[in-house]
Amino acid sequence: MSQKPQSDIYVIGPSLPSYFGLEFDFLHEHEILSEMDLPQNTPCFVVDANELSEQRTEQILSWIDLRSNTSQVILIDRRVGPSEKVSLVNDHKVYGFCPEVSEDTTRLLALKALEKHRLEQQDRDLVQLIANQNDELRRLQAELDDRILKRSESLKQSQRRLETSQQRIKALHECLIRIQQATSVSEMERFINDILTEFFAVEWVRIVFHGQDFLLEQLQKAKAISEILVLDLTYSQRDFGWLVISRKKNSRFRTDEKQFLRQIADVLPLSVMRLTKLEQTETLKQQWEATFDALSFPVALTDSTFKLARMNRAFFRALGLEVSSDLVSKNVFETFLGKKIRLRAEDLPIRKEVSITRGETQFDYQVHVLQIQKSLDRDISFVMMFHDITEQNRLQRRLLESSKMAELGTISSSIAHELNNPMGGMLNFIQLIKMDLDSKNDMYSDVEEMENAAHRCKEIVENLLGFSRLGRLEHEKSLDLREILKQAVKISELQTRSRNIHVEYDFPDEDCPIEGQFNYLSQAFQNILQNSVESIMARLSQDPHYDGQIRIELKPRNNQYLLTISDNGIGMSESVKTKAFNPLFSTKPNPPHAGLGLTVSYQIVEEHKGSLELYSQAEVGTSAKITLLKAL
Amino acid sequence: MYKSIVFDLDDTLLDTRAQLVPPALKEALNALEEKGLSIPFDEALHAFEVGYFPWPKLIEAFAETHDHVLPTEDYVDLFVKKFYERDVLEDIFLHSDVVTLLDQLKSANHLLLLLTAGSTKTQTQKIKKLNLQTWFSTMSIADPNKGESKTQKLKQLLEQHQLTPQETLVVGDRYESEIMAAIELGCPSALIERHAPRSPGPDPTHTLASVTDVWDLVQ
Ligand SMILES: [Mg+2]
Repeated sequence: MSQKPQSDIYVIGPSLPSYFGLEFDFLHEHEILSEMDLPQNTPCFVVDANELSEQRTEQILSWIDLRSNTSQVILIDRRVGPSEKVSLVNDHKVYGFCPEVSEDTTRLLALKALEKHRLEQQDRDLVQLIANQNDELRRLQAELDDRILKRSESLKQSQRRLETSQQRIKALHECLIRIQQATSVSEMERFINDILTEFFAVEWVRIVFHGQDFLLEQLQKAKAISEILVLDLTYSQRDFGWLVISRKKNSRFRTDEKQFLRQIADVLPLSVMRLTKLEQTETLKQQWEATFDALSFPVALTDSTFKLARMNRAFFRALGLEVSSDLVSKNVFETFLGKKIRLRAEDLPIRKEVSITRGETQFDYQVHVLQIQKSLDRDISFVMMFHDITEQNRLQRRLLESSKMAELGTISSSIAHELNNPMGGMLNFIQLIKMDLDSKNDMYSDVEEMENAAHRCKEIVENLLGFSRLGRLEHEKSLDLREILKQAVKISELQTRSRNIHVEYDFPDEDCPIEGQFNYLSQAFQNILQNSVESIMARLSQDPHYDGQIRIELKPRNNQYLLTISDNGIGMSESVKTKAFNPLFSTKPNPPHAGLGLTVSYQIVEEHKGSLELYSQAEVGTSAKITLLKAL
Repeated sequence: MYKSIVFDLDDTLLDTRAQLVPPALKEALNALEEKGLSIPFDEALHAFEVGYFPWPKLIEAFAETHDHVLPTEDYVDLFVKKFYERDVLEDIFLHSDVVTLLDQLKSANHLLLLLTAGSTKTQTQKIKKLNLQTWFSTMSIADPNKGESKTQKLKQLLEQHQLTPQETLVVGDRYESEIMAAIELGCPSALIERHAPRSPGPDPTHTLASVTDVWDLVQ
C-alpha cells in the first residue's frame, strides 16, 4: 500500500496540460476506489468530470463525502446547469464550479476553497476547543459536586456526633441534677429512666444494693427478653451495689454508651448516701424541733443583730399569737418586750430581768442571752431564753412586804409608845412658846414651822400606833363593800372636786356583803384614792388642762370581790413601784401622810385576808388591784 | 372496635402503691418484727419496686439474708396473711381521670368486666368501697387460696357473655398475670408500662403509658 504525501489540493481527473501551472497533486479517478487510505481531511479536491459519466462523477463525490466531510470540492464540468448546481452544493459540499480548467479561475477558486476550508477548520477547532473545555468544566463540576457531597456527608456525620455528645452531656447534666433532687431511690430510678429513655431507648433502670444479690439475680433473668447492662456501684472503694439498665433485645450497649452510663453510675452512690444522710438529718431535725417546741418557756434564736430567726411555741404563746413566720427578722426585744434594748456581744452571757405589760397584766421575765459558739447555721448567733418570773417576783415581794410589816409592827409599837409622850410634851411646850411670842416676832415663823413639824411627828407616831393595833380588830358583820367605797370617795371628794378630777364607778347592782372593819377599810380605800389624786395633781402641775380621771370598778368573782382603782396620773417608775409599800417612802416632796398611806392600805387589806397589788407605768397611770373575801 | 374490655383492679384502676401498700406493708413488717425478723420499710418497698417480684419471694430472700428466729416459711406465711388478707380500713378512691375513663367507656356502650386476683374478702372490700358496680357488668375474683387463676376466670367471663377472644380487650399492669392470660386465650391485650422487667413471652398487643390511654385504643 503506497502512502501519498499529504497535499492541500488534489485533482481527480486526467492530468491535462492546463493543470501544470497550478502545481496540484493528482489522483487518478480509478485510483480512488482502491486507495482507501488516501489522506483524510484533504482541504480541497478538484474533480475534473468533463471526461467522466454523470454516474461516475456522482460516485466520486460520494466517495469524497465519505472520506472527508470537511473537504471543499471544485467541480469542473461543462454539463452542469444552474438547478443541478444547487443540489450539488447542498448534497456534496461543492464549493465552486468551472466548465473548464483554467489556470487563473481554477487557481483562484481553489485558493478561495482552501481559505473556506481553513476558516471552517478554525470554526471546527474552536467548537472542539469549546466542547473540550466544556467537558473539562463538567468533569471539574462533577468532581466538585462529589467532593461537596462527601464533605457535607462527613460534616453531617460529625454534626450528628456532636449533637449526640451534646445531648448526652445534656442528659448527663440533667441526670445529675434530677438525681440530686430525688427524695427516694425509686424516684432516682424513675428520673434516670425518664432521661435515658429519650437518648438510649432504655426500658427500665434499677438500683440494687449490695447484699440484695437475690434481686440482681432476678433482674438478670430479664436477659431472656432484653439487653441488660449491669454497672458496679462503689462508694469509698467499697461495693455499694449495682445499676441495672435494660433495653430492647438486639440493641446492644455500645462501648461509648457504656462509658457514658458509667459516668452516671459513678455519681449514684454519693447521691444515695446523701439521701440516707438526709433522712437521718430529717429525723434529727424533727426530734430537735419537737424538743424546741416542747420547752415550756419562750426561746428564740436570733442573728447577730438580735433579729428573730426561730422561735418555739411558748414564744408565740407568751405573746398571745398564732405560730407563724411573720415575726422572722424582726428585732427580738421590740417584738417580745415592746422596747429597744441595746446589747453588746462582748457582754454575753447576759442574765437580765425585764418587765413587760400585755393588756393590763404585767409580766416579769428573766432573759438569758447565750452566744452560740459554733453554729452550723451562720445566720444564728444567739439563743435567748425567757423565764417567766412574775409569780416568783410577786411571792418574793409579798414575803418582803410582810416581813417589813411584821418588823414594822413590833418596832412601831415599842417606839411609838416611847415617842408618843415626849412628842406630846414637845408640842405643848412649843404651843406655850408661841403664845408668849408676838406674831411679829422674827422667831414666830420658825416656831410655827417647829409646831407643824411636831404635829407631823405626832401624826406619824399615831399612824404607827394604829398600824400595830390593826391585828386586834374586831370584825363587824354584814357590811356592804359598795357603801364603804362610797364613803371613801365622799371623803376624797373635797380634793377631787376642787381639782376637777372625774371619778367614775362601776359597781354591781346587788349587795356586796363583806366582813370587816368599816372605818379601816374606808381608810385603806381613802389612802389609795389619795395616792391617785396626788398622782393626777403631779400631772396637772405639768399640764393645768389635763383631764384627770379615777375609775373604781368592783366585780364579784367566785368567793371574792375584785376591786380596781385606776388613775391616769404620772404613774410610777420601776424603782418607785418596788418601794411603794415601804413605810415612810413617798415620792411626794411634802408628804401629808408621810408615805405611810399605801403601806397602811396594804396592811388593812392583808388583815382582811385580801390582797393588794399595784400596777403602774410611768406617764400612763397606776392601777391598784384589790381582792377581798365575800362574807359567808 | 372492642365489644368488651376486661380491666385488672390493683395498680391498673386503683393506685395501691400510694393508697394501700404503705399501711399494709407497715403492719406486715411490724408483725414480722414481733417474731424476730426486722426488715426496714424503705428497704422492703424498694426491693419490691426493683422488679415487682412477688412479696413471698422477697420475704423469703430477706429472711435468708437477715437475722431471724423462726423458719423462713413461717415468716412468709405470716406476711402473706397480714399483707394480702388484711381488712381494707383506708378510704380508698379512684383517681378522677380513671373515673372519667370508665364513665366514657360506659356511655360508649362498651361491656366492662373486672378481673382481679387476690383474697376474696379483701378484693370484695375494695370493690364495695370503690362502688365498682357502677361501671362493671361482672366482677370476677381469681382467689389463689381456692386455686383459681386469671386464665380460668377470663375464660369463664368470655363464655358467660358469649364473647369471642378477638372482640375482648384485656387491660392490666402485670404481664405475668392478666396479659399472659389474654395471650393464652387469644385476646388482644394492653399492658400499662411501668418500666419494670417482665417474663419472656410474646409482646402484648399494646403498651400504654397510662390506663387512661385505653380510650384512644377503643376509638
Ligand atoms: Mg394489677
